Amino acid sequence: MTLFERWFGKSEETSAERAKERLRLVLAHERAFTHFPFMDDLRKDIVEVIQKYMKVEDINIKTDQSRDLDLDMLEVEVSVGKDVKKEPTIIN
Amino acid sequence: MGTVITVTSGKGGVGKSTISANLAVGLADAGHRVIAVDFDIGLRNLDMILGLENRIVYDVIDVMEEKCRLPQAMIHDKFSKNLFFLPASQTKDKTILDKGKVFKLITQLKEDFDYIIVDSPAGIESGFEHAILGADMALIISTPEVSSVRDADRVIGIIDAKSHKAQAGEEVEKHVIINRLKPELVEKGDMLAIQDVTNILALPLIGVVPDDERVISSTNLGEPVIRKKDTISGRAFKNIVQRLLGKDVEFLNLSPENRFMAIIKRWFT
Repeated sequence: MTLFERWFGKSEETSAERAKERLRLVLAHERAFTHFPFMDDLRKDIVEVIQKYMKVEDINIKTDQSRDLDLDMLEVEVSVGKDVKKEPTIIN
Repeated sequence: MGTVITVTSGKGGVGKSTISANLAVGLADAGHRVIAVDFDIGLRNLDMILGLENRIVYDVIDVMEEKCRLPQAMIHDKFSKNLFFLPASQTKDKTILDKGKVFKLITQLKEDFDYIIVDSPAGIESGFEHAILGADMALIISTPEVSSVRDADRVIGIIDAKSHKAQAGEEVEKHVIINRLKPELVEKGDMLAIQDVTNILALPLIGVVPDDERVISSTNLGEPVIRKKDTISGRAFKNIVQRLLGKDVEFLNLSPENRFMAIIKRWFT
């Protein structure tokens, strides 16, 4: 942006236009997170399933969501800590 | 079978209860059997806007916990034989509600009424979930301000995840109402315009209610503004009612000079 634009060009932008632009940016970011509204339930289920096979307490689940043009990505990383008892607690 | 219309928003204080009250009155005055249900548990408000606060004996939680029968808790409107009101509880912990009870109540109301207007609490917590659970239609209220539009967008994103209808594979009809528009500010470029808000939220617009002092005085009196003659907000509400009933009504011309003329005219009538 040139000094000229900063002084003259930009001063013509109204506060409503700024509001529109700021909203567009913040919502583009936030919508990615409402795209998987079931994340909390999914987390609980993952913990349950893991505890069915392993006797661990500190399960750490890290999720990352991203959106491409035609692809929704959901990455789930599960770490189960050190004290893993290999024996499954429930055998069905 | 009645239609459940949930009035909701992300941000608080954008006028959900006022809009719920006015639409309920409007639909009732158009000859339909209507019940307005206040689901803002712990923060009762709709009663004062409807002017029915002195008649409350039981509330919606009492009904759901079967401490009273539904008709005992329903309050009849002062002016319309078609309009009933079911108040929110004021004191009880809102976490005691469970989805099964909420859905049972809504189903029961659908049998007795043409329209069930559910006034939802703000936000996306459990109270909102209960209010949206049985919705056939959701009216999302936003003022033309960044925080309100932003929060409305969040709510829109989770409506389908929380409603029974959407989970059964159908879609909850969603519409936007823009409240407290100030045409003078829009003109100056200091307020988001109608089109800006609808573009961002990407939902059909069902009404625009201009900022109007008469709404405040009506709330003071407990007489919804839709029943006041010659109010611009009252006309806006009447138009929304018509659109809810499936009629194609033109949007009010809210350009500043028009409002000015309306005020001048009011002085001379």
